[in-house]
Amino acid sequence: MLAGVSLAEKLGASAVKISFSHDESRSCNFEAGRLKYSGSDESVGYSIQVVKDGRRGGASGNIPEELDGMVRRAVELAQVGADAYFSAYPKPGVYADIKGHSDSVIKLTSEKMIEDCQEIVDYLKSIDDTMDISASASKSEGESIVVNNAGLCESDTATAWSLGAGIQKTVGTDMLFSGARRNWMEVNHLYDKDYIKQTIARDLEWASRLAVIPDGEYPVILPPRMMGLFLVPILGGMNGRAVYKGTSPLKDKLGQQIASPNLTIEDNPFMDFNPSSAAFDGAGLPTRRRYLVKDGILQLFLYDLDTAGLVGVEPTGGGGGPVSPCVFPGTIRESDMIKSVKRGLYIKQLLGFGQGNLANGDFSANVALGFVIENGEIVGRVKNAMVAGNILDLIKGEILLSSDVDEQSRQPTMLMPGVSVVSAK
Amino acid sequence: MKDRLQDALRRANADYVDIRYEESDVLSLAYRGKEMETADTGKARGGVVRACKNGGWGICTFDSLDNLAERVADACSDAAMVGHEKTCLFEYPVPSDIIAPANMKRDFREVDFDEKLSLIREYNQLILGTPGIESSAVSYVERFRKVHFASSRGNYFMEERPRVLLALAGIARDGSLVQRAHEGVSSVDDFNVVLGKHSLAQEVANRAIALLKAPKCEGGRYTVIMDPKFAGVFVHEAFGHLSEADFLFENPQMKELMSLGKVMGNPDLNITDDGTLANLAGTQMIDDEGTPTRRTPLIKDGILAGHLHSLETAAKMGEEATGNARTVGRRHVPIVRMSNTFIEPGTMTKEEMFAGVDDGIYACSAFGGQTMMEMFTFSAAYGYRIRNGEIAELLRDIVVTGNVFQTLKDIDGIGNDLVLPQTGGGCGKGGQSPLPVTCGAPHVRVRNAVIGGKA
Repeated sequence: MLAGVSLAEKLGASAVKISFSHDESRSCNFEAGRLKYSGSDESVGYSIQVVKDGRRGGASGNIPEELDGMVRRAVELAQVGADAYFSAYPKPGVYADIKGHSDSVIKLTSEKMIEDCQEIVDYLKSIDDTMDISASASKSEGESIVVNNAGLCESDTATAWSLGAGIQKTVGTDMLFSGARRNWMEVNHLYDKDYIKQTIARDLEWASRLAVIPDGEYPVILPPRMMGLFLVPILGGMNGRAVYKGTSPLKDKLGQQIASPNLTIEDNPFMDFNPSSAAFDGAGLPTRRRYLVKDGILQLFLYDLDTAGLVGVEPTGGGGGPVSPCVFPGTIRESDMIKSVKRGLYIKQLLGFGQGNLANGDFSANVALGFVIENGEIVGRVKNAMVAGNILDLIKGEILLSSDVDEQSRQPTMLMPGVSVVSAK
Repeated sequence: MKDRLQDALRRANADYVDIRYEESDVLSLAYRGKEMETADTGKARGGVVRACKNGGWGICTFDSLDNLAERVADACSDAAMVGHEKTCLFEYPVPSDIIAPANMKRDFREVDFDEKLSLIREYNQLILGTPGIESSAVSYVERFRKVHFASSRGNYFMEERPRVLLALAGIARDGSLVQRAHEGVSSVDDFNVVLGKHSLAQEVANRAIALLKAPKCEGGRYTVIMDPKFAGVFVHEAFGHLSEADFLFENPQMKELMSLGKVMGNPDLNITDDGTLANLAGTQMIDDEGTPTRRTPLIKDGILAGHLHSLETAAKMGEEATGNARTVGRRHVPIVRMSNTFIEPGTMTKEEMFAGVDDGIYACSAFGGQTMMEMFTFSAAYGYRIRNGEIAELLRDIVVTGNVFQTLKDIDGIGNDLVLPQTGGGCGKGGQSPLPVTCGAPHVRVRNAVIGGKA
């Protein structure tokens, strides 16, 4: 790889970066309630990025003997490539030491993964054996190396596991999908069969009756995973390039109130064994832990090295987007949040969410899995309802965050008032 | 290559084994706004071994052929560990070796790099140069995929699958309101399709600007006339996925819901999937399990007539394999996918169709869609109000959703103007995206369609 870096420099590149990865994994898959697939993946790959005469080019591949050829291709493409607003990578920094490799994953056997999936499947069968039940588990180990011509030479090994299950329940033309998944880099309390069982069991219980809701504007409760989707316009709007080009809806809002004072979002890239953690970004700049939104006020825009050069600011470290964003919890338990709603929806899945002008905050989506709340209680599953609105407007309303959070993502549940609901009659 | 693959298979210990090995080469150039954003290339190789024993599957991916024998052994021992049933895969006379090199009218590999670059630069400048346009996105992608396959049944094929794509998009802005328009063209055999698309680029710019001033479509129930592109996406999302037998074959309720002979729509409704049509995006000579592709009627005269199959789904449902087991790349296993899927033309003229609508929506082209089996939702790229049979004002933000079974029955007009657009769109399923497909149709009229948005 270092030879590849020298070759690029010889060909006139002022900045060169080569990343290499090698991964091996094992997995098992259950379909229709029984073990169906078992297997292993092995893969290697490299990716080359160069800057030459103020322009960028890239190439990638997985054929070791062709690395030099791909370096040449990258340099050739740089002749016509995107303008580069930096000519050299910065000197390597001091990077956080984040744990990402655990023997506990190496020790996880195929037999155990199969056994654990079987236990989840058997439990779900005991609730309803007419459902279509699937489950899967995997574990992997990988090594990665990144070098650049500013002296960066970082190598890392990492492990990961995943465990999950899903059901499809079909009654006539009515279909219900539910699922739950966990994944982490160390086998710890998150490797939790009970979480998976109970998440699906609760969906089934809540969906056992149907309910309707008249058209109107209502508070919706967004559990952690759904809430994360609703943050996309905010997190995307912080991208420095989008701000510079004028396409970010937050472009004039630095330091201003863009959301309810109840909303604080922090970026913490340093958590051990978190798959989204990272010690440095694509340019080799150290990542940082910081507030993105504090009490509803937009704290900063995010500039990667290239955009920083374009705009004439310092790069913010971490790239143009957050590394591992997390919303701070609030003070009301999710169960009490539900009790506080006179009429509204609890939304677990949406269909078509990203199809509107989401960058601007607009959404219009079908409620694939959602429940009607009446007088503080879940009364049943809603069918054929669509929700719509503009997230950037709605997030300025009286939103609430729950005090209890998802164990893996650490995200709370959000209550968002004023969402438009329309039902197909 | 054939010998190498078959040699590795000889030592396999399973009921069925196959090996698929691919080499692929990609070039991607893209402008975003004034600047070149992407200039990337990739070259990779690798594949998958699949073994089936007693009905259980062992799946092992590999990068290099060097350790192929080992990977075959791994797949077989995984299959042996898993399988406790009976291997059930459709059997048919093995076709003789199929060698299908690409046959291109103009091979993009022989086109000068500078020609490709100046082409997209021209289109980009056209879009950006239109007053009112804030930004643009123009991209050119070419991909050459060479697929080798051999199975323990003695199948062998080599198929080359080239593809070239041009995508044009314009973004117009008025304050915080942003509207986007896009068009695309693609070809499997001719670089020249990307030439001479200046008026298409202009159309994209003009439409983005016009949409800024267009009112939003109000939510509610409407009679909707779908243009061929929109109707094509509808048939793909709303019905096509339900024909994929891997959603059905081990699910008794779904099998019942999609049982042959069921009334799905009016007698003039015919829907077909055909993987053999010359030079279309979804066409292959042979699928990624070695089954020759074919024309499969899915709905005939309003009645459910067929399903799309892999070897396993066909055998388990007592039907014939249809050649629809496809993959998107070297690291994936074949799953049941559509190829070129379309509503067959009917007899209604476009004039007749519009004349039958006092107040409705004309939905045109599509940004994309999603389906959760019975429920589908997708966005028209743009549309118009229909008033007294005439196309009236331009509308934006048209999101159509509904229940498949109901909506198919609500089709009361099928046009005589079938179009099989080659726009470069791709289908996503099971983490395999974008798979080249064609979504085709004539104009189609649907009563009682639900359009989302604020009440």
